[in-house]
Amino acid sequence: MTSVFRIFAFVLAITTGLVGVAVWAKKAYSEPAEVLPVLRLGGNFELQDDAGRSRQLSEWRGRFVLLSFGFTHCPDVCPMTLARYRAVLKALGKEANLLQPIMISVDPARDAGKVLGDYVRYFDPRIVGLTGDLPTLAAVQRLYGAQVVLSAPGEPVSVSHSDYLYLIDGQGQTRKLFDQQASVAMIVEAIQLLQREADER
Amino acid sequence: MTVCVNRGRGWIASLLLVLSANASAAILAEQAWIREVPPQSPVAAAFVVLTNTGKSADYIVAMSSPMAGRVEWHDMRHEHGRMEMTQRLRPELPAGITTQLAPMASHLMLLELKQPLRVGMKVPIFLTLASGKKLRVTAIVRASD
Repeated sequence: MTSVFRIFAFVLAITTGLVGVAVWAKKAYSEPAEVLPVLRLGGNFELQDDAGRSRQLSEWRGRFVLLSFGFTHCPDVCPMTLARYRAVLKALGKEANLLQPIMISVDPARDAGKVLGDYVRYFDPRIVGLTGDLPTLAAVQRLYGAQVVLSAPGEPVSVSHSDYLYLIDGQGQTRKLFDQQASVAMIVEAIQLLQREADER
Repeated sequence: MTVCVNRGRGWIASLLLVLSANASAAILAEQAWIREVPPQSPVAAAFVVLTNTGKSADYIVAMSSPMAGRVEWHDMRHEHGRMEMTQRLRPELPAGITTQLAPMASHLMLLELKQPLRVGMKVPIFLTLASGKKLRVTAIVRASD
């Protein structure tokens, strides 16, 4: 009887040990201490919305910002980016108020006034469209390392621009760049990571 | 969504086509769709998969749509950190090859839209080929993210 008890105790101890190792391994590998690094680009800017009001990035301190550069005569990348903004807001559900999606138009000649606002709000009324004069836009583009080329006056109008999405934290710091391959889930995950970081402060 | 160039032609026309230089060329257009754009957008991008099932190359020499002032083939490429778009004139459809017009790669750009495009709408696009055929592509407007 004693030997049976000993075998039972031995098996129990081994099983407990294995379960312990499995739990530790799961915790260690599935919950890495992920921190998005602060990227050395970006910063505050001041541009205008479609009502002509001056808007600064700092206005959204305490919330996260998804930022992109685009224009309304863009058939492929910009509608795709804005549809992705819409999907991210939808995926965030009740937490969507954490996020402010912004598109900066690099084509102020054609996107002045209501045009830009109507365009971005079609995808979701919470999206903000901003633009400014060309020198101000050039300064913002430099700040974010965005590449923009507009055709010269008199030539057929063409615009080419960087297609990255910038995720900006509640302190106005750029924390992640997404290319157009990034899924909605990846963007949502990064936003939730920033939210956990903010909650721990 | 599959469209065959020979559709709607009589058998005599079909026979003439068979006897012509590009007899074996038949272009299939599949999976045609247009990315949703806001109603005030003057442009939209159409994507389609074009397959030349014939034995000789064909070329698109003209494009049109009753819903747009102009239609152009545009190629996108990521260069110098930005997306650049260039127009391709007389795009080739090589024999036996499937050419995919896909997001971030190539599209048929509908310019000077004559009416707002709504999700679910079917938009006809006509491709005139060097072989003399005219291909009707029906692209459906789709939301995407």
